[in-house]
Amino acid sequence: MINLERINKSFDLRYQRDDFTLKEAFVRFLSYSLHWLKFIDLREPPQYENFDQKLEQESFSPIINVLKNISLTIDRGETVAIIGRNGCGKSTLLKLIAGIYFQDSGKMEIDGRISPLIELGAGFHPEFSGRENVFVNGQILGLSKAYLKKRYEEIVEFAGIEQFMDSPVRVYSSGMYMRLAFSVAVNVDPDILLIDEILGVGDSDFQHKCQKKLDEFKSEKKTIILVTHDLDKVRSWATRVIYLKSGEIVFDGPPAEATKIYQKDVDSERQKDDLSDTQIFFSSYPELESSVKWGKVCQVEGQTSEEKMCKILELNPEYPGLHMVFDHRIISIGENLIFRLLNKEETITLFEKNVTLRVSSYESLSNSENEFYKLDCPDLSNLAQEEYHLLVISQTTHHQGIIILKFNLIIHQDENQRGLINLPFKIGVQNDSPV
Amino acid sequence: MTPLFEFNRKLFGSLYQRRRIIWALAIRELKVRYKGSLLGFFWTFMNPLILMVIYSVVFTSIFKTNISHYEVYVFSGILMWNAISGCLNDGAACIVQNTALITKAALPPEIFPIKVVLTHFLNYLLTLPLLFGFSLLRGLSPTFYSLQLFFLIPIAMFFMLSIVLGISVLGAFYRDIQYLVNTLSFALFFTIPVTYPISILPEKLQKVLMLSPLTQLIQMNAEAVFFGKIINTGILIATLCMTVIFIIISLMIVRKFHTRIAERI
Repeated sequence: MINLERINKSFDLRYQRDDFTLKEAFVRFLSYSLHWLKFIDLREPPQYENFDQKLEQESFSPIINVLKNISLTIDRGETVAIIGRNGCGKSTLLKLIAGIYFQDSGKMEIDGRISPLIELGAGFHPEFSGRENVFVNGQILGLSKAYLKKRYEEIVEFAGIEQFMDSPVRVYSSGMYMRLAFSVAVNVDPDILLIDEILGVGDSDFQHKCQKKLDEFKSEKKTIILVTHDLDKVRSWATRVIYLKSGEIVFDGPPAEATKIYQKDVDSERQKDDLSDTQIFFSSYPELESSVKWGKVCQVEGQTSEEKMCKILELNPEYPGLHMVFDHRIISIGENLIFRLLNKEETITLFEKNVTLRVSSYESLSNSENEFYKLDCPDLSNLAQEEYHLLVISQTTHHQGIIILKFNLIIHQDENQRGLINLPFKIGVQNDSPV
Repeated sequence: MTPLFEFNRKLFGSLYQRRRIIWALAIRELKVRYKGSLLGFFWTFMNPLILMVIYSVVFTSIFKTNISHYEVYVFSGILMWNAISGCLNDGAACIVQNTALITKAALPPEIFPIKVVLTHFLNYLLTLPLLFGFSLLRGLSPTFYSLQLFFLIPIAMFFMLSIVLGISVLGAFYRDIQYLVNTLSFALFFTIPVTYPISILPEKLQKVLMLSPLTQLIQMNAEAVFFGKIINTGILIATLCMTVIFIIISLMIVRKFHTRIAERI
C-alpha cells in the first residue's frame, strides 16, 4: 500500500547546473565574512556569476514547484496509470515513490518492496558482454546471483538474442539493448512495480511478450504504477488513472473518464497553441473607430487584449487605393495574402488578387517601436459608387483560408475628400457576425 | 531532519541490503581495469614498477640513500599510496559518475564511495603477491609480521571510507572538489614516507608528520611488510581515533545532503 499525504516538492534551479562550484561558494562565503567583519563594504550582496543576474533580469522564480499538495492512496493490486503533459510532475512523483527524490513536506508511507523500472539498462556497462551485464544489472535490480543463474536461459530466450550474449553490449543495436534490459527487468519480484515510459520496446512480437509479462504481474495482484502517454494502453489496462496537471491532481478515477478529460484538455491546449501562433482569432470582427477618414491611424479595437494588439490599420492618402499597416505580431499569417472584393450581398467575387505583406518602417507610426508590415492593395479607383465587402485572407498551410480582415466598403462621392485622394470614397466598418 | 541515530540506522540498513550490489560493482570495476588487453593485469603493475625504478635510481645514486633494500621499501609504499590516492581521487567523482544508477536504478548514492574503497583495496590485495615476489627476488624474505595486514587493511579501508564518504557527497554538490582533491593528494604524496623512511627526518618534523593519518597508514604498512615488526600501538590507536572522528563528520555531511543528492547530479 502506498499512502501520500500533502506531498510538496520543488526544485531550486540555482543548483541545477554544472558550474555550481566550491570556488563560487568560497568566494561568497569569504565576501560575506569580510563584509560582516567590516573589512569591505558590499554595496550589494555578492552574486553567483551570471546566474543570479540572469534570474533578476528575466524575473522568474528559481524555485519550481513540481508537485503541489499531492494526497493519494494506492491499494495493493491496483494498476494505476499516471498521465499528464510533459513537465507536469509525473516522473518526479514516481521518483519520490521510488525513494530517489525526497519530498519537501508531507508524509509518505510505503508498505512493500519496490522495483523501479525507470530506465532500462541503467546499470549496463558497454564494455561487458550481455552475459555479464545480465548478472550485474540483475543484482542492481535486487535479484540474487543464484536466482539469476537459474533464470539465465529464460532471460536470454525472452530477449531472443542468444548469439550475442558473449559480445560486449556496446555493439548491440538499441533494440537488442533494450530487449535484453527488459528481459532482466521483468524477473523482478516486487510488491510494487514502478514503470516509467519503458513499454514500447522492440517489435510487435516482443511487445506482445512484454504485455503478457505485465498481465502476469497484474494477475498476481502486484501494485503497478505506470507513467505513460499511451492512452490506448491506459484505457485497456489500467484500473485507475491519475491525471496530473502542473503538479496537481486534476482527476483520479476510472480510465475511460480520465482519458476523455485529458484528451479534451490536450485538444483545447493545442487549439490555443495554434491560435497564439497566429493571434488572429476574433470572437467577432474588430471594429474601427467610427467614420475613419483617410490618413488617420487607428487602432482596431478587439474585445480582448490579444485582439487589440493584433493590428493597426492605416488608410494612406499618399497612394491611390487602400494601404494597410499591420502590427508585426500577426506575421505568422504569412506574407502572401489574398485580397478579395465581393459585392454587398457577398454572392459575387468582383475581383481577387494576390498581395504581399512587406516590412515597412512607417513614418506616421514612428513613435512606435514595432516593426510594421505594409499591405499594398490594388487600386480601387474604377469602382462604382456602391457598398462592397472586402476580405484579406491568409494563404499559409496552417491558416489556409482564414479571413484576417473583413470590411464593409462604402464608396461615394465626397467633395471634401476628392482633392486629398484620387478615390472619392470612405471606409466604414460594420460589426460582423462571429466566425 | 531525521535524528542522527535514526538516519544512520536507515542508511546502514539500506546499504547492508545492497551489499551484494556493492560487491558486484567493485568486481566489475576491477574487471574493467584488467580488460581490454591480454596484459591488462600486468599494466596495473607497470605504474608502481616504473615509479619504483625511478625512485630507486634517483634516491640511491643521486641522494645516496643507503638503506638496504631501498627499492622494496619504495615499492611497498607506492602500492599502498596508490590505493590511498586512488580512493581519494575516485571518491570525489564517484557519485557524479554514477548518475544513471542513482537517478534511474534508485541505488543509494552512498554505495559508491564504499565501492571505490573496496575496489582500490582489493586491487592492493591483488598486487601484494607481486610485492612479496619482488622482495624475495631481492633477497628479502617476507616475515610473519606481514600477517598484520589482515587487520591493517580493514583499518585502512575504514579510515579511507570515513574520508571518501564525505568527499564524495561534497563532490556531487561542488564539482571542483575533484580538482582540489587531485591537487591535494599530489601534495600529500611528499609529506608521507614513501620515497624515504620517516627515520631520516629530524625528530620534530617526524612528530608533526605523524599527526597525519595517511602517514600513519603508510608507516604501519611499512612496519608490517618491510621492517618486519609489530605495528606501533600508539599509531594504531591514533588512526582508529581519527577514523571515528572522520566517520562522524562524514555521516553528518551525508545526513545534511542525502535528500538532495539525486537532484543535483
